[in-house]
Amino acid sequence: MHSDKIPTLSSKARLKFDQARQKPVLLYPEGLLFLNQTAYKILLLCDGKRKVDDIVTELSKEYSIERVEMEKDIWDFILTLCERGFIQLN
Amino acid sequence: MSNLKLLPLSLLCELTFHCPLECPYCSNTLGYSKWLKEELSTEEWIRVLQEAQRLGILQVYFSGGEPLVRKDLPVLIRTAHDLGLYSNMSTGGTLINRKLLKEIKEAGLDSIQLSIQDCRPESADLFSGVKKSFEKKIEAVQLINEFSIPLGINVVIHRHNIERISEIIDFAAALGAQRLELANTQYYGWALHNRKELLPRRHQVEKAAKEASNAKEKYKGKMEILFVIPDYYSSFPKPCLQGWAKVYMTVSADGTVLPCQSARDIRSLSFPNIRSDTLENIWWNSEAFNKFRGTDFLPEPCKSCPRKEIDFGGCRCQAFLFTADASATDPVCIYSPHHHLIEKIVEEINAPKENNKSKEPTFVYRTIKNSKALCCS
Repeated sequence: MHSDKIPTLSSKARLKFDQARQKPVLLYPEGLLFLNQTAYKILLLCDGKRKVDDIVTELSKEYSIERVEMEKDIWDFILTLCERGFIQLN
Repeated sequence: MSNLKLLPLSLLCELTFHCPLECPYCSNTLGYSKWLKEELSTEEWIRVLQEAQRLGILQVYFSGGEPLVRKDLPVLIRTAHDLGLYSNMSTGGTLINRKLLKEIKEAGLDSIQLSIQDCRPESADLFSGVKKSFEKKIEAVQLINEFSIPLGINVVIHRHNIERISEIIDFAAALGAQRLELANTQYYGWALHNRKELLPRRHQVEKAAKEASNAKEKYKGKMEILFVIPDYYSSFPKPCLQGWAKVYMTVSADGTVLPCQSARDIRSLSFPNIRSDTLENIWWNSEAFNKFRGTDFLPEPCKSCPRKEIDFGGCRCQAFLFTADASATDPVCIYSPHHHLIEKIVEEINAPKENNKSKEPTFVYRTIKNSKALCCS
């Protein structure tokens, strides 16, 4: 996998914390996705500066989990959102 | 059911019934001309948006009619934006110009859904009822792209354009759409009135479904394509709005608050108005919103059917329009005791035509004059 790729939240998607439901949410033109904490953290790090590799490093530190255990899950999540056009990978 | 689960997610604001186009499949109610002079004021819409945000709504769809007819649209978009709401505008596009687009982008609009009628100018103008409307829409699309506003294109599909579906898809891709909704006509309002001219034939639907499915592969990752077959041709009803008054509400131009934009045609219910109540009270306590919540109200065959948790018995408006009972099973369902009513319409449309003289469609266009004539008769 190309871990030096840089993911960015696309312009049509907006990430916010929904106060009414106390849940993070990703909003896009035709709908929305409520997120769990991990997904929220990944998306917060998709800021157009960090590489996927950096995101894996940061989150594995934060959760004290081995990099190898997290890498695939993070990639799967990013690629799924990429397919739906919510993330651009450059 | 916990209250938290029932917080609404999105609000459709039908800002006005005025529209420069005359599409014969408009989802607005036939009698819209009755309420033209009762449009909510800017202050009233601002209150609606504030109340919506407090109620837990996350997304606002500005629609109409044509929302750009309202001079206060930028103010309303800014209000939504400042409240943290994600804002969408559904437009016909013909009123877009550079100055206006700049203004609404700066106000914080998140995305635009623009409707086109067809990929060929002459047909598109025939369906919209307005000459040169196609040309103006294309100019609008170019401006939207120039301003980098996320764009989805919506094409209402019917008997007279369904055979061009591949051409329409390629055209939308060339226009730079990120998402293309090939919206098969839903038969409410003006579309119901024009159903005989609009409902496609079975072979057309099958061919179009195949072409759309191929195109989905072709444009994967570039443009998302949505195509759902017309519900008259499916075995089970659509899960309308994911259930009555579950996640969605509409405030119409005159302040009427509806669980669904077509619900006004359910004559057996009376709907509350934002001028005399709050959005919150309407959502939780009004009779109209509580009437068909959940699935307990459903009669047989839905009552004992496991699909009721998938499609909630289908569309309440369609049930009412066919059976005069809004709690009935949607007649689209093959198990509905009224399904023969749908079959009859489908059979008529698919019957071999001896007389092929007039190929030109004869629509009743959505105009104030026609609305007055129809709702007063």
